[in-house]
Amino acid sequence: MGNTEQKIIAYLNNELTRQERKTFERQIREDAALRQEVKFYRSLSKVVGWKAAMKEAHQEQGITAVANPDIRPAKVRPLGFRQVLSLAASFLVLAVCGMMWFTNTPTLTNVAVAPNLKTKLNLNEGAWRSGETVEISPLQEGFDDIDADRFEEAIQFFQNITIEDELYDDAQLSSAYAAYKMEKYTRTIQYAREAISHSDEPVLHQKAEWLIIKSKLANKEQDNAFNSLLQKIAKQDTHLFQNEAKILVRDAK
Amino acid sequence: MQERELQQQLINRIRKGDNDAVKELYAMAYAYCASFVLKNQGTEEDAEDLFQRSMLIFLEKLQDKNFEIKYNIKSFLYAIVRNQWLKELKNRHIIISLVNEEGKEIIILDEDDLESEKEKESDFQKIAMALETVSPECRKLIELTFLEQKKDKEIAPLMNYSHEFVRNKRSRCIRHIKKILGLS
Repeated sequence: MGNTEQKIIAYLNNELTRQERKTFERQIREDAALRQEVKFYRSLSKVVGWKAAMKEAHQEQGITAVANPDIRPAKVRPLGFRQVLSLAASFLVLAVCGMMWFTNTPTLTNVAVAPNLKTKLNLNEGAWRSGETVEISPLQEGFDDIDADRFEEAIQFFQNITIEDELYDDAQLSSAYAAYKMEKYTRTIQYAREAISHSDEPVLHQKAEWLIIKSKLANKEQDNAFNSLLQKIAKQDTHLFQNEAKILVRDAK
Repeated sequence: MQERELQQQLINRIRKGDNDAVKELYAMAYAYCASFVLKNQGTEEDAEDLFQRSMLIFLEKLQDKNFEIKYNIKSFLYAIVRNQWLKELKNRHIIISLVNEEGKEIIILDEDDLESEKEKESDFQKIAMALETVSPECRKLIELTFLEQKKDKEIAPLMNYSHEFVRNKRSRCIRHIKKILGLS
């Protein structure tokens, strides 16, 4: 069971290569017992996700609204002098941090941030594949949503592209970018991995890899996987994001 | 955008496995539904528990691609919570006259709507209950694997386990869940 379990988990977490995935899906179709196993693990995975989402939503929402379902305006107390001072201090700190963010001093958190990211990802290129050009991409509607900051709609559009479609990997990468813009980093990683696992195109891999790095950075997930991916990008001369990765590596030292 | 379209978008996102949509639905409907429990002899804990159970029933219904929601989602969830709470009160031998339903759209669920409720403990509910019985380490391991989708070599340092032990431990945890579910 051990190996089957590993395989099912790798399958559900999109860690299989395209070929492995196809072979495994054929096995699932042919083997009823395996089909049941996959169904169980898929259900378990869903329930774990739902429970975590509900727990998070409950914590974010706070209990007071529930304890007092009648809508009553909260009592507002005027601020005291000390509170005004501490608020002013907080604004000052925020303003300084904001200015630092917009300067180009590379730090582990602000290097290669969004303004240049989109240009480099070249979302409106129409086709991700080098040497391939199309006048209007079939994904244009999603790109338009991104341009208008309608990221959730963009993801919805891209996610409607089915796995059989040759633009599936591009759509996954575009979803990853939209999720990144919404600061939904776990989803960014999920879509980026999906793009990688369904594409043999090096440039698409590089773009997806950088989105994973950026998301892990934002999520403060600088684990072993993060470090080895970052090192790999920094060493790869042909990588689109080699310079940014080098800066990150240098600053981490 | 029409409310119905927004509702359909939310459902589509949930069906695609977007857990942020589950969070949105929770935030949208919790206070509305929980108020029924709170105003009818329930505690905050009852309200939370009942609402989450009802969400599971609803989420399971959504897995059926043919399931079409004919009502407002909030009202539908409210109806499930209401049914569940009335059953719970019956189990606790408490008789009450219902209060505070003014302004609420009360829908009566038909046989089809109640199908998964009739089964009492559907697959997803059973799994959720089985998950409650595992150790905190098992739960963390399962969450790291399925929720955060970490690989074993990433999980190992986080839990101070060896790479090999991650596999064995997770296998044991999942075996325990299957045993509770009567699958092994």
